[in-house]
Amino acid sequence: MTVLTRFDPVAYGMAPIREAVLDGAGVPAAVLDRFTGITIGSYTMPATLDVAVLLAFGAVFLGIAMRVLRRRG
Amino acid sequence: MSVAVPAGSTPTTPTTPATRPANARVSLIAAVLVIWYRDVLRFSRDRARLLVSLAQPLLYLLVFGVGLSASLGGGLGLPPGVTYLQYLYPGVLGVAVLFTAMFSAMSVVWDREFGFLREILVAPIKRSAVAVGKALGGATQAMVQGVLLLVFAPVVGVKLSLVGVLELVPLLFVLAFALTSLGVALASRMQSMQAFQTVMTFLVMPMFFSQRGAVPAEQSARMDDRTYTVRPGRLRHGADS
Repeated sequence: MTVLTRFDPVAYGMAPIREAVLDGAGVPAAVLDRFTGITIGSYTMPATLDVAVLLAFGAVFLGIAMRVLRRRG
Repeated sequence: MSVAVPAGSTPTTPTTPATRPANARVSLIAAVLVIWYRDVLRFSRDRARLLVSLAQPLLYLLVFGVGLSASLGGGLGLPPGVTYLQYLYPGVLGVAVLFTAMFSAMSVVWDREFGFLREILVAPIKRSAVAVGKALGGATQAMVQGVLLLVFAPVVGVKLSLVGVLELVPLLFVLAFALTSLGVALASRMQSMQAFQTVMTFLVMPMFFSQRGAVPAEQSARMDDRTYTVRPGRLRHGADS
């Protein structure tokens, strides 16, 4: 399940969204990382990196879509 | 060398190499905007689709939120002061964006089946504009769904400030954009609606469950462990036979 999460774009999108919402629910910043961030080993990814991964994911698939439409139509 | 202009015709200004790329850029942006606007317009006119896609995440909030929190109680290991509904709420926002973004790409297959895609592709615009317009159109639809659900934040006990909302809107858009791009990439290869729906269902459900919107990561890991520890016990008592 943990491995699957690392390849799921929704997980990268949900981490900063959850952080923003739980921040609004009054959860202390120290606790937030435990419940929101994606961890690789002992490293918890910051929200900016999550967004960067998501943008890269979107750009790659948009590139594929452009290529397919240009070739096949 | 001078160019002879026929009598009675209006002489036209020849396009200089400097203005040509600028014109091409403008026509590319215009094409993207037209395709984006068409998708958003179709979405805004389809009230039934809007209502049903709003009802689905609310149903999740009701079924999972009320049902699971009652049965699991404090066993979810949430931090003190955080209710299960508050934890679930961002997951529900994600569900709304996920489903709307992925299925909005269906319009590519739909347009292909009805021949509209062919008409766009033979138009004197760059074909990449079609992909970008579709991705932005779907992302806008999904983002709107997510933003509409922010209205329910106070109901689940989440107080969002204006800054919080302004922070969430671009995050929802980025998530929606990434997912719509994936959907458009898949849809551009699909020839039939049935194939697209099958592939989408195959992808969407694992994506929904692996983002751990319903159960915290720590608890989910513990549940995985429990599955392995319970199984030998069940086998011993013949429950699996």
